[in-house]
Amino acid sequence: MRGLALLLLGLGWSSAAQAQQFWKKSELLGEMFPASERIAPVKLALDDAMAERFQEVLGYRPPRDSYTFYVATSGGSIDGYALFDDQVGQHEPITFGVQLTPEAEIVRLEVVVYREKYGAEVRHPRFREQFSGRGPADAAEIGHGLKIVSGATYSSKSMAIGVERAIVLTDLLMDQQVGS
Amino acid sequence: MILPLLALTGAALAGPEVVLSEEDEAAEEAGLEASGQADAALLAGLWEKGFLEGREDDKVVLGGYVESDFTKPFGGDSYFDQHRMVLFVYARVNDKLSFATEIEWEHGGSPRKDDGELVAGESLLEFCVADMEITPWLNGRAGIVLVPIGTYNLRHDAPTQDLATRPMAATYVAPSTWFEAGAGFFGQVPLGARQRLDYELYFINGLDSKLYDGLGTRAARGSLGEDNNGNKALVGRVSLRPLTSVEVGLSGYRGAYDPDSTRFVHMAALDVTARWRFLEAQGEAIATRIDPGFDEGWAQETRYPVPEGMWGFYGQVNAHFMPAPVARLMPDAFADATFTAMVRYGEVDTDTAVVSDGDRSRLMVGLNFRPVEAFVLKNELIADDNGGDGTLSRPWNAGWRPSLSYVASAAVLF
Repeated sequence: MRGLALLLLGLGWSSAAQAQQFWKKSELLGEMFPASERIAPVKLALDDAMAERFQEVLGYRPPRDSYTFYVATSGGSIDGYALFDDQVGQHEPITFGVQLTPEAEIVRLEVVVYREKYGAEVRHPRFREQFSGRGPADAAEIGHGLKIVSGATYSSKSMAIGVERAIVLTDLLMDQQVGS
Repeated sequence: MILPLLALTGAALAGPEVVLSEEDEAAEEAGLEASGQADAALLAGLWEKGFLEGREDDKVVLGGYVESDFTKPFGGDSYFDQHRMVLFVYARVNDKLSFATEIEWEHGGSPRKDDGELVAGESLLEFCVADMEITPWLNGRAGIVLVPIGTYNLRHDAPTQDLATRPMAATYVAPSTWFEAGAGFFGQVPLGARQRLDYELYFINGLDSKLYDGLGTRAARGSLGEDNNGNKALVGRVSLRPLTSVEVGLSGYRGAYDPDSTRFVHMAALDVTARWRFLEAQGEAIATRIDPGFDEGWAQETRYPVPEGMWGFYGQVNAHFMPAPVARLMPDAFADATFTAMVRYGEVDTDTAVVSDGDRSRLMVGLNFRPVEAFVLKNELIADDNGGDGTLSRPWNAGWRPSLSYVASAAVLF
């Protein structure tokens, strides 16, 4: 089999792996905030009140008790946030990264690791750009009217669920930072 | 003036200082596949027919798949077969309760023309469960379950498989698609940053006494509406994912097959699935021990002794690729098009006491094309041999004279 692999590579054939990692987190963070001075992790620990607020907005309990955000700063002010998370598609978890403004509005969505056999079309910019500008005001409505990619129905819906969650969690993080 | 400009340019080129969390930094240094929250377990998908994570307003999800085959036995007549049409319905009652079903029409449903006669065809519920999440590691399930013996039975959907023809071990020893009425538990336990353990454990009606050399356990699959005895079979599978790209599963089955609940079928299976770059490997080995007894307890019982042992295995390697010149010719709609080359070898023995035509070896090679992942056009060549002449020949034996057939298949997930 190693021989076959070498033969394929030797013939200049491109591989199409089933689990594809498109970004390293460090590289993507650098691309998301190229003008920032520093990008560092911040942990959001969800207490009961936060979890209830999350559930009020999205209708389900937060899947985890805590989330690690990345906060981009310059000169002491916040340039934006990034959150990496997983959302199950049809069969496997899709790892994605979301860039948000200091107001928790979506700037960019990227698929970091795609493990499904189907639905990688959600990586296409036309699909991802639908989420740009969405924020806390309409977080629960993102799934409605979403232009779903044909053949990637589950992955499309999964991305909408993931983006909604990222917005609400960022909103909670901002509240926590204001309160602290 | 120039120096500050250079300094600014240099700062811009240098980019931000990126400080990763300890977990993310360790993962990148080790070259591990990223996960969203590095300290979190990855969730199972519908592949395991697990509970759904989602919003309350995603209350009902429809989906399904279609599989259409063309078969040409060398030396025999070719035929088209509208093999399967499956409709999925998933419904979330609330964030703890859900319902899922698969409705299947095989060979066009019913009636079906068989040997020129119209007979009852297959139109059935292949999966139909009510799930209740207690915790992520403990979920209750009742209904028609996919019997968790090996991995193929759980992941048999045609578009997910690269070869159209199912492995013999997962056809005759574990009779995929094996579905039974029952109830039990399933869940997943995170074991670290990227490790997790999944399990399924069910009580089901279980196999009856229609256990034959050749057909194996296929005719013995339990009724969805009654049981031939008072014993409930216990079946379970535990799978470990040491990495997200590797899964090892162990499964077992024990249930009485006779009307008096005194004679049992014992089954054990080991399955392995692994992915590395553009390669996938999968395999299963299944062994069955059956207490001595007879085909009995139904109107047309033969009273033949049942086989006392069965086993089977298969191993398969898939290589995904796309020649660069071909990729350049693809329209935008097929930007992620992929070819896959497959090779599978398997054997099965449905009565270990004799060498008969129930002893079979099969070598398969195939090439399929996926213009998008959800749509696959499959081609495969099948070389079969059996022990009908008293000896089972294998590809590496000098006297190997297999019967050959070609199968083409189109499958689409929607």
